[in-house]
Amino acid sequence: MDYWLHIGNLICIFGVLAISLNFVMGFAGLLSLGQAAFFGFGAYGVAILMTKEGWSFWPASLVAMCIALALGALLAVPALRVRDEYLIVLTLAFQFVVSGLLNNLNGLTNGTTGIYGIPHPTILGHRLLQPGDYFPYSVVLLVLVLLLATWLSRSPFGLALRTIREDETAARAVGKNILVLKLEAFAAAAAVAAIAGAWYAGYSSFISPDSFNLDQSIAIVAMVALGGLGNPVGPAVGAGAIILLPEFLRRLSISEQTAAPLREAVYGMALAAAMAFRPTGAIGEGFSLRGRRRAASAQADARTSAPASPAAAGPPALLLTGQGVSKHFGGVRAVDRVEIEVHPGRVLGLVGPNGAGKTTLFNLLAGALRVDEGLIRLGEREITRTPVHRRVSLGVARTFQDVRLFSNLTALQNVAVALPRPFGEHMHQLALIPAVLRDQRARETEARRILGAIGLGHAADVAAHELSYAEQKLLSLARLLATRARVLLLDEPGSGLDEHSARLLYDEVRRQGEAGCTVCVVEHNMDAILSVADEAVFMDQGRIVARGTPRELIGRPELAEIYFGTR
Amino acid sequence: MDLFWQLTVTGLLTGVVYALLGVSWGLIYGTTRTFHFAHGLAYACAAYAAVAATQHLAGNLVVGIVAGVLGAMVVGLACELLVYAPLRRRATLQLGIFLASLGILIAGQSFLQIGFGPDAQTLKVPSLGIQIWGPVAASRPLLLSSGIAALLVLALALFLQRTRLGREIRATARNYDLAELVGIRSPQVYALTFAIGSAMIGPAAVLFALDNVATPQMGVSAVLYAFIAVFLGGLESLWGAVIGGIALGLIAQWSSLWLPAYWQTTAAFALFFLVLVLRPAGILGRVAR
Repeated sequence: MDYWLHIGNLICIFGVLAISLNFVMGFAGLLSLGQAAFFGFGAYGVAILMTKEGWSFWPASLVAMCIALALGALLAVPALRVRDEYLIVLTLAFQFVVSGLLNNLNGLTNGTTGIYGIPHPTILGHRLLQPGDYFPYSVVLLVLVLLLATWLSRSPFGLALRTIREDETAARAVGKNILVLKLEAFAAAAAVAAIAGAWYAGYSSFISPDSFNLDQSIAIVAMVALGGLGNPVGPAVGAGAIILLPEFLRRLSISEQTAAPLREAVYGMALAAAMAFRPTGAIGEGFSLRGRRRAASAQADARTSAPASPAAAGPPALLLTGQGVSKHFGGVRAVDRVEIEVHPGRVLGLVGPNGAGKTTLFNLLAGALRVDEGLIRLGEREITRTPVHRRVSLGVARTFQDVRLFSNLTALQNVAVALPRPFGEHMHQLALIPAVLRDQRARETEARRILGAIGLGHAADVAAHELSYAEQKLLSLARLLATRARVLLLDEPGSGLDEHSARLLYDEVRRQGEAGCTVCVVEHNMDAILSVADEAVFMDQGRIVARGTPRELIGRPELAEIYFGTR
Repeated sequence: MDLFWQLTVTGLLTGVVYALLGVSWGLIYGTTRTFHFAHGLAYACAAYAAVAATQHLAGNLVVGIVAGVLGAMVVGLACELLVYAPLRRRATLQLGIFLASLGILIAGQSFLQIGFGPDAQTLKVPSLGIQIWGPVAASRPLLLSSGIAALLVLALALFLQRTRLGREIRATARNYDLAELVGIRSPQVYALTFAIGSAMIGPAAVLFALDNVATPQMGVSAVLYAFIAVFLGGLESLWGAVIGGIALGLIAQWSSLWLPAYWQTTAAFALFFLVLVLRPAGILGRVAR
């Protein structure tokens, strides 16, 4: 009996550990091969403080958790700048440094021998000794962490992390501060892993570096990948399966010597096979213990509301200006000392032949590229060096030519995530559960209203990648409007659309202009510019060569020559 | 001073072998964008193929090396054809392919352990002994491994520059779709890349096993050294990995001038971590996008 209780305790501990990794791996899509290191911080923190400093269990685990939290946040800082494959090697290097320290800092960690005789923790005045004493508390710990994970995954914080997983560039463009979000995800993952480690140290009363090495990190990754990425319950199921596997093999009367490698062989092959047949893990992301979310009723509400303009009235839009803006790529002056003013309440078309610098100028205004020379202002405020997500909160937002929706999120989520100032997007707000839920409901209602007004009410609960291309373009406009930006930068909104859909879309753009927004449209299609723009600037070779109404520009033969390349 | 020269010689020799590991991994990664963690499995299988061949066929080092080259190539090709290519056809994400690769490595290592037992295996060929030049000494297997590695890297560089197949590989590395458009059959190029990249590490694995022992887990450290070489030097070029590998070899050896030997690996990884943090594009690389 004690033996099975022991297995039960291990499943709970590793379940907690796997859930913690899922915060970064499943929600934010950042693979970390260093999770065992944070597990180790918790275990060694408790072991050292208890055996060498004579602390008792609870303060020791609190301190260990805080150390892990800080280190997790620190690890996220370089992780911000690097791409997928760098993150793998970065966390790998981190894992090896920590393993090396645990093995070699003999004075502190007793090196390879490990630490013996860690005192068992006391709860409510009695000391836990047998696996049976621990088991109820292990289950409580697992359930608490499961609830935390469920809450995180449903909260605005979880949704924001998922936008990072789907598309970082687009996440910035809807105003997400990626650094802070990643930092919080890594810190939370590290802290929860350290809690698992502390409990593990108290429970087993002996720890050695072998429990916190790369193999362990890989096993945790396998638990998450097999159990279910991005789902709160999946990793715990994966942990259970991987820990029970050797017990199952033992039943098949396989010798102990073969059983250990066989277990690894089975989960290694399962990992490779899972990527081919079920990349989301055993339990899909949408799975929830409480069944599917209620959707239909709320959808009905949205239909009844009047399809007014998608964007609510806001503060008056501001003048967006670029003064002497230049950008070089190598020796090429892609944008050369451009002066541009985008006026409120007007739609400005940015036209010109391929390679004229339209997209570069557009990216400079949106903040996706840094200007080399010159100033960009929004009203009186200079925003030349303001990062993309800050520009969005100041009211300057953009769409992408290749839409860049969050393709695995529903249309509703795509819009809701872009609404400004969400409550509960950062960890410290998440404790106020009722307030977060209230805000979330309000945001969903608002998102449905926007979708309804733009004509996508029927598609609210459809994943973005399942929509038609025209619907995706509309959705990207809805997402832009949801940011409440008053300066809208649209990159070829009509490209790839049939005439009817393009007209629908341009009608909406016009309405935004009439409602007082400042709109700048990059467009290839001259007909579209004629129908939508109040004024236009013509670019060639990085400079603005002509300004005027679209009709004036089209009437000028020398521009047509440039445009069609007949020079 | 003698110690310094000894460390420098050992560092250079191991560094060239690390460079080979890095170049071979970098060739595969650069061309196919596959984060081929299971490269370590090809390395371990090369050593075990040599152990088996020298036991059952002939106790001759050349037989061992040939078996090693074949073993590594078969494993590398099998990974590509049986796992990565089908995954790519299913449009699996980078992360998924990496996890699959990790799975192959774990499973393969375990099968080696089940097949050969958990004990370290030795290569049954006559020992090559040690080469001594005045105050400095080097084990002959390491010397040989290093020489072969240098030749292989040069041969690869020439192959990529001068031959049609080599240019096809570079073209595919640049732009998969465009390469296909101009008539380069990319799946075949991928398979070829895996075959070449894997076969290259065969001699190094066999000679490592001769100098030390073969264990199922020996590939993990090999593939880690490959990562360090590649990411230290920068992902852009073959020569980046060469410089990264030699730098790694020298730094790891020189670190024992100040630190006890058991800190060597940790020191190397700590330094690597710092480089990744401070210069994510590598020592030679241009600034990251």
